[in-house]
Amino acid sequence: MTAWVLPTVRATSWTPLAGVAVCLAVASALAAHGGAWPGTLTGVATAAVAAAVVAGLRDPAAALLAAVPTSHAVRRARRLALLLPAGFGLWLAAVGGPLLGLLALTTSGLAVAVWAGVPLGVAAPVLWVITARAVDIDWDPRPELVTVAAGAALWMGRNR
Amino acid sequence: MIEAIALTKSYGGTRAVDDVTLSADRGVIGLLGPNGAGKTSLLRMAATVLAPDEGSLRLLGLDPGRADERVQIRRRLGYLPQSPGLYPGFTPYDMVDYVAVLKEHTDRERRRHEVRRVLEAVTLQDVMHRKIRALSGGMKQRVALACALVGQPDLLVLDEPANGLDPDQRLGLRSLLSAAPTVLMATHNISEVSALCQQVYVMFTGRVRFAGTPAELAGLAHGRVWEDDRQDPDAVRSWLTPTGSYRHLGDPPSGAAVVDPTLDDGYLLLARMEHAP
Repeated sequence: MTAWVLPTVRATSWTPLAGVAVCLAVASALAAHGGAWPGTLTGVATAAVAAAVVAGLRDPAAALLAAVPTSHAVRRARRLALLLPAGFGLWLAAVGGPLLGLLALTTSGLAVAVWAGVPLGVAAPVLWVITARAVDIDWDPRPELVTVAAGAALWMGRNR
Repeated sequence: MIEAIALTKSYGGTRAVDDVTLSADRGVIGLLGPNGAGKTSLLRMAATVLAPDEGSLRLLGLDPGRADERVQIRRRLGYLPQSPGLYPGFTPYDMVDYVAVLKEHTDRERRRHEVRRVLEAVTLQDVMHRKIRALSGGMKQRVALACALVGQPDLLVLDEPANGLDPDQRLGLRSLLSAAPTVLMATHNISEVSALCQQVYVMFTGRVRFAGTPAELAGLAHGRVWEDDRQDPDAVRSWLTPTGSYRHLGDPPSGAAVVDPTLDDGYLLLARMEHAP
């Protein structure tokens, strides 16, 4: 096994994803009782998973590790290589359906995180879905375009 | 090792580092100054973490502004920030091992040897398998210091390394640092500077106001320190010493018992001159 994998798994903040997993398990149980997920909750569940993936990037040792030869971008990419499959797997298991909406929200949150910090990156997907519901618009109108745009922003900010 | 010319760094409208020129080859270089003087920003630039807005910086003969050279510098650099966060669920061994992995120590056996070496250097070998969350503040500081020491760096950049250390640990730190090739260290502790540093820079409001040896800094107060058994209202600073007499700093009155200045006297006089109208 590559030397970075195990310590990165341990250094990654899994609590947000675990918390969302518990909430989704409860919601899934309730949904199963009622027949299916209520459509209005799908957006909130998707935003919660996206936010939890972004929250996993929080690194308490970031200052200490700031001057190691393995760059911040590489360390972040390694965390995402662990967090994204876990988050997407959780979403598929609990909510299911097309992944594009989740991909769009997660990429947007990550893009905000690299440019404005992890806390705002966590808030971004949740705020977007809440705002969309408040003004009664679709929360994932063009997920492929959002993913491409947010991915470009993420790429441009990869060394931040 | 460090060659900084006219470095400037601003945050918004505030110049945290203002036209700082600094040169250091080998030995321990101390950075003194009050909070907000720009020491941490300067150290972050010297650690390749922060890019200067203006000026030129070369570290270990390389340009940290170039991505490829920055990686080469980081391979030979150890950095201890002012507030080094750690993973509470890790042990000191895990933490230092992870840093060694990130410092590209790929051979497992050599890495294990190196991790043990640095943990012994900071005398943490007895608690190396205890969770970091269960360690004292001084032990956590030594874990962070051990991380900076991984790979025997040619350049150590340390922000308040003696934070949280007890007197015995401070002495240990001194012997550790005196063995390092080049150390750039910010501190509020003047006794550390007088014990360790060959060169000292004093910063106020982002600018270097003094550069020289500790003896030269103390010499700034030559002829301006006197002792008396009464407090002198004309002195710029006065304080009661353990012997029961008052030590005064400023322009001594005629007939005053002038004494040899210390590094504290030189620094305090410089600080006073900085804040004088």
